[in-house]
Amino acid sequence: MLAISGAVSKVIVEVKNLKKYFPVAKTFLERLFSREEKYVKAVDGISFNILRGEILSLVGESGSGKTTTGKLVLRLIDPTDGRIIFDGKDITDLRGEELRVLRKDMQIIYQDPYASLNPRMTVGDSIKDPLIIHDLASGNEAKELVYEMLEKVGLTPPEYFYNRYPRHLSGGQRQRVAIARAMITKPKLVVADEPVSMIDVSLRASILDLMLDFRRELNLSYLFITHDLAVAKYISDRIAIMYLGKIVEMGSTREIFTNPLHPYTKALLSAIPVPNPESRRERIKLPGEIPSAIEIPSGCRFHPRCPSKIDICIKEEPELREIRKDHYVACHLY
Amino acid sequence: MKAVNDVSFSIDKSEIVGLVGESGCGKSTLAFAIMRLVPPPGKIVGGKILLDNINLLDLSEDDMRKIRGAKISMVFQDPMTSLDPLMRIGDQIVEMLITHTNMSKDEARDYTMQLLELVGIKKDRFKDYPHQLSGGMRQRVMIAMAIALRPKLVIADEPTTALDVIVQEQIMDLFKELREKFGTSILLISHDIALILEVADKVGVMYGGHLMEFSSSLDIVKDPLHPYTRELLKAIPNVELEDQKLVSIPGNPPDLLNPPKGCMFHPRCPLAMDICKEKEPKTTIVNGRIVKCWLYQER
Repeated sequence: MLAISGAVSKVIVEVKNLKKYFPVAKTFLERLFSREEKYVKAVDGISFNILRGEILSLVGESGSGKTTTGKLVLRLIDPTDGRIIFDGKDITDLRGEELRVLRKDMQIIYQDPYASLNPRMTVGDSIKDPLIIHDLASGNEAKELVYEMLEKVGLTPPEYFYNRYPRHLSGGQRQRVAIARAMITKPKLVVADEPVSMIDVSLRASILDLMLDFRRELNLSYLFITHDLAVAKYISDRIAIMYLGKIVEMGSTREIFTNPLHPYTKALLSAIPVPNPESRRERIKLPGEIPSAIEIPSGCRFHPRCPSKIDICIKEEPELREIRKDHYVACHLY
Repeated sequence: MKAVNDVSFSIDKSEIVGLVGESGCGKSTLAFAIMRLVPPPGKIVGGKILLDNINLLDLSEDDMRKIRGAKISMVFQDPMTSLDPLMRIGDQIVEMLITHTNMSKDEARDYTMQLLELVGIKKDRFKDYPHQLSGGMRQRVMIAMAIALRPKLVIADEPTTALDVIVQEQIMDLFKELREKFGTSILLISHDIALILEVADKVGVMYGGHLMEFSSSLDIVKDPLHPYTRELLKAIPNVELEDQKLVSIPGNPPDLLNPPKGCMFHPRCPLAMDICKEKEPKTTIVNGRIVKCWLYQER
């Protein structure tokens, strides 16, 4: 990253103490007898940054808040609290036109390529749309750019795919269209929300490699959201493990896999199936399931399931602290 | 459309057999076929399904109904669509027991309590409705119902696909416990090859409706015979390996409405020969292992 001069920060996005609480609808009786509002604390105070050209994975089970975090970073929903700094600018309170202009630099790839593409738009029009919206190109120039992009994502010959509709394509091909559409504006940050979990296993690697190609070409950053640690290991530079709206551990992919510290990370790692019947790994089994984000346990929110719990865990919430260089853990054991 | 074509394998007592394959390979259709529950207009046009040497395809619909649940039962991916949302979970099990056995209501209730405990649900959840349970607990209820009549075979179709890895591990442990306790055989169907290879004793690899390979999971991992199996193993991540390079299989899964001539896999096969494009290979046995590929037979 030597090419980046002092004036431009190495950090593309920084998130500080981000929170998102969703109010819970109350029943009639609760309305009569209680003034207390209940909230789903989907994201409950998280901080991280992503460097230019870096891939950070957010890994967690369903209900851990990883998708909400992705939407917050893109300003698709408004945070309850906290700041989002993108490309050196605080974007937390941007509205309307300013936000629209910003969208050119941040894009999203969704999980379900059957739902994310407009079925009544041809592949060509779908990919061209962002160019028109952001006034980047039009007419023949736009068409040329789309052809070029189709080639890059491996949908060749481009003139064939340009006029196809999503229904003519397989799941893997649709996800390539979704990626092309996200990349056509040359974004600086892409949030990829489970981009391969609906793709057939024989094709997953090619989609991941395609995303890595674009990182190389555009020096873009990814916030990669996944429940699958094996996929996260393949693609990310760093990994943040989320549990019930908090980051419990964050570090380089290597650190997380070779030296996991948080008991939850250890359990998660040991539960990944390994394609080998002779694997003799140490197994750490957790009881129960992730609780509801409405009734968050006291102290450390992981304590009811934690095999290494000590007294303080019930009372006091641990902070995310740097234990080793660039390795952060929120656990009283350290 | 031939969703499942020329598939033969056997499951021993208390064995876990895994079926893997990508979407559209016919693994779920095969499960429904074993239960004789292929949704119309689909039908079974040939073959045999032997359970303790009785061909299920010869049975009348009435006799088959007695087999389902009692001898073969099924667990699905999404328990929320299999459970009645308006009925307490305990009552659902009790009702099933009364329909299928001659238990009295009290007996059924006692047995339900035992079943719930067996699958790791506290007795006081008897009166819960499905929506009050987590995804993992709902799947435990489904498993309790599936094993209630002590079937010989439980078919589990993507039973943990909607669950998180930690809960997935809990459910897999439960399956292993049940087969040890009762000698139940389990046919585990999943797209997750890593999971199948880790859990199952034997594995069948399906592609385009055909069983391409069938042998012990160890043989599959150490010495995969079929080129599809080999390529598939290169495409899936293994967290125990350092700096693994994943390789996708070029091309797309076959369109079963318009299947390729010859071997189903030949358009994507790195070892395809001329004959593969012309003639479908036969299923053969090589060193006790089942494989369907021209590499292992006389042309």
